[in-house]
Amino acid sequence: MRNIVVTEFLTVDGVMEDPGGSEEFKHGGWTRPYWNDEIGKFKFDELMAAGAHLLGRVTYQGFAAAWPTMKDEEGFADRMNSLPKYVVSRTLKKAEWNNSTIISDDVVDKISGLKQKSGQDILVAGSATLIQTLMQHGLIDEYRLLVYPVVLESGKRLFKERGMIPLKLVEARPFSSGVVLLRYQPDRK
Amino acid sequence: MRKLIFSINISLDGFADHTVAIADDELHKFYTDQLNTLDTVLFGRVTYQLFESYWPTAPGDPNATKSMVEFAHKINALPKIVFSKSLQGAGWNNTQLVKGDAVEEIINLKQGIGKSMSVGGIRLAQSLMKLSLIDEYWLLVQPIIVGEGRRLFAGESDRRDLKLVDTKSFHSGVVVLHYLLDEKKKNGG
Repeated sequence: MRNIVVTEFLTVDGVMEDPGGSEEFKHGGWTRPYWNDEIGKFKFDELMAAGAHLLGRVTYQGFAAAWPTMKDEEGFADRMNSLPKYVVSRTLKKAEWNNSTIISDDVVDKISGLKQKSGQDILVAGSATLIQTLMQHGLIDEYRLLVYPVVLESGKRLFKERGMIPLKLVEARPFSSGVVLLRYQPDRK
Repeated sequence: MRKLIFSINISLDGFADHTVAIADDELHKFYTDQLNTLDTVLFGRVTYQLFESYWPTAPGDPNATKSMVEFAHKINALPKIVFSKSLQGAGWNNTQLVKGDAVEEIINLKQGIGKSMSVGGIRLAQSLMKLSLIDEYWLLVQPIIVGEGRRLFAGESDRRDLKLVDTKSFHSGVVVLHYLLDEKKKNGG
């Protein structure tokens, strides 16, 4: 069974929008002052341990526009470009980023099917809308949140669903720049 | 200047909901230890009434644990101020009722000499946060997503940067995030 891991950059008040500054959000790029080697290593190790990306259309299109032309010595960009990507969208007709598959219908069944096969983690990054669907159907196995010491009070939030989801804390780790990693699994008792 | 601190139980999705707080020995001991650093506790009406309805009688409650009784002794004894225009009186031991403008009063208190003060109560805290009057935040992040309720950060201010001081994890999965208001970045610098 493969795990679906939701991995996000979050403000203290739960905003996930435009952490890197490439979208048009007023506060975009809010992670930049806090980036350091520790966080870079964490994201690198995460990508190397992953087997695929599962993305919503908007995030997919943002990544697809940026990654193909990036290159770095460590191989982060190469892996972003070579890993299988599954993009959930009813409107996207062509997915031209290397190794992409469009999931346009039977979304829950198909994603459950992806989980059944053996393999490394399936990462969900960005993808605010897709995550609501995954939450509703209990498809998320881990929330991996990098909490930045910033309060924005505007912007898209990660958690929008009504209804309680009890969680189990897996790890809480501070980074030296003031960012805290919080990892949770749904508490499926 | 006296320091004003604010501790609150919040869900992972940012709602202040004391009913989902895991109130075990570690949590009570944490709060008792914190009370030992203070000489005054400030309350808004709602939280005052909530606390006053139980803590005075806790030492005599057979269901109260040792850690709860210790917390009760401490908070019952500490000087308290409740800010309310509607309350007729404040019957809790060592409590002063202030009917005037809370923010003005608190600014005066901060100018005075003494140990740190804490504020309990969402509404009161939010009005203080807006004016950057809270010096230290202790967010006790409960391992649960609740989906609805009263947001702690309710969209009334612009971007704020915080400085992470330390983190602590309890066995229950609660993570304490301790932040200072980042003076340098207070004006977006």
